[in-house]
Amino acid sequence: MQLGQQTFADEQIKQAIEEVWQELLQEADAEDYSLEEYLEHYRKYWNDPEFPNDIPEIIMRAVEKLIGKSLAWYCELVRDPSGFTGEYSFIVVDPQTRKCLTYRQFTFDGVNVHYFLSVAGTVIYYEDIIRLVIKLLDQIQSALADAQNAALQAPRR
Amino acid sequence: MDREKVLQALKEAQAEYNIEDLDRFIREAWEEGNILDAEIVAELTERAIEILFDQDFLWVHIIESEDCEEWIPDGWYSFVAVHPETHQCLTVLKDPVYSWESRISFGTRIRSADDAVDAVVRLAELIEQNLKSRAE
Repeated sequence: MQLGQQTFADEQIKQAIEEVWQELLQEADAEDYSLEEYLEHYRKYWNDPEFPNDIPEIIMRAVEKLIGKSLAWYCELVRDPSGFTGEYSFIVVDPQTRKCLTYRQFTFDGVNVHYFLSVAGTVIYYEDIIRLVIKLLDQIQSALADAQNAALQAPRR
Repeated sequence: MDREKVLQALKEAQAEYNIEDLDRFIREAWEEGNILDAEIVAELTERAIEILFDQDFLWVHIIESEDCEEWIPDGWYSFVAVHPETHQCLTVLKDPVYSWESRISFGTRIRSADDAVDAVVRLAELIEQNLKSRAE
């Protein structure tokens, strides 16, 4: 049995992001303003440490909401000598099995295997958040399905 | 984790990286805020762990910085280790006191050779716990 992945419409993803945004505003006891407005400030004050730190929280909470599962994660804010690049690199782990769900490996030449432990993407506009949520959903759901399939195919005593 | 073994592993790693005075190298990486040397400090820490366990791991390290714009290393590092065959994360912290994000990464200060020994001891213990939890 091959377990499939759930696909989400853009509208569902937007709704999850909006719900997370409202939750974050409530938790911070902040006045009501839109995520679009927040992103406008974020683009202006790019290197202000306060701004980029909220983005990973928004993205991962939306992912968790959509797949209905809590995840352990770490996000690196990617920098180069000129400062923060706008890129976020996520490592996600299943807290139950401790499997790294963002692990991927591939080969260009059939000999040398390259691996990645993280899924990364640049966030500047609202659409970038949606794109990164989709990218993470694809990878995480695929890793969870692989783990489930492996468990089903494992010999039983 | 036996500190003598850790010292030996660090010495082996130090030789592989052709570093004469480990304490001076680590101190300068921090005091001068040299990002390339800080990279070597992180890699050397990882290599010492691999020597101790006689096994390769997959790593992500983050060189922490207080200054977002200048990106000057502040002597703090975060490590995530993953087992290459099982893909199990080996730096999972079960302590509920830790925040969400720090649960899968090991954060430590390395500003001297003594700090490096402490960091390798604690990181090795964490990896050992995670390897044991899988075996159980």
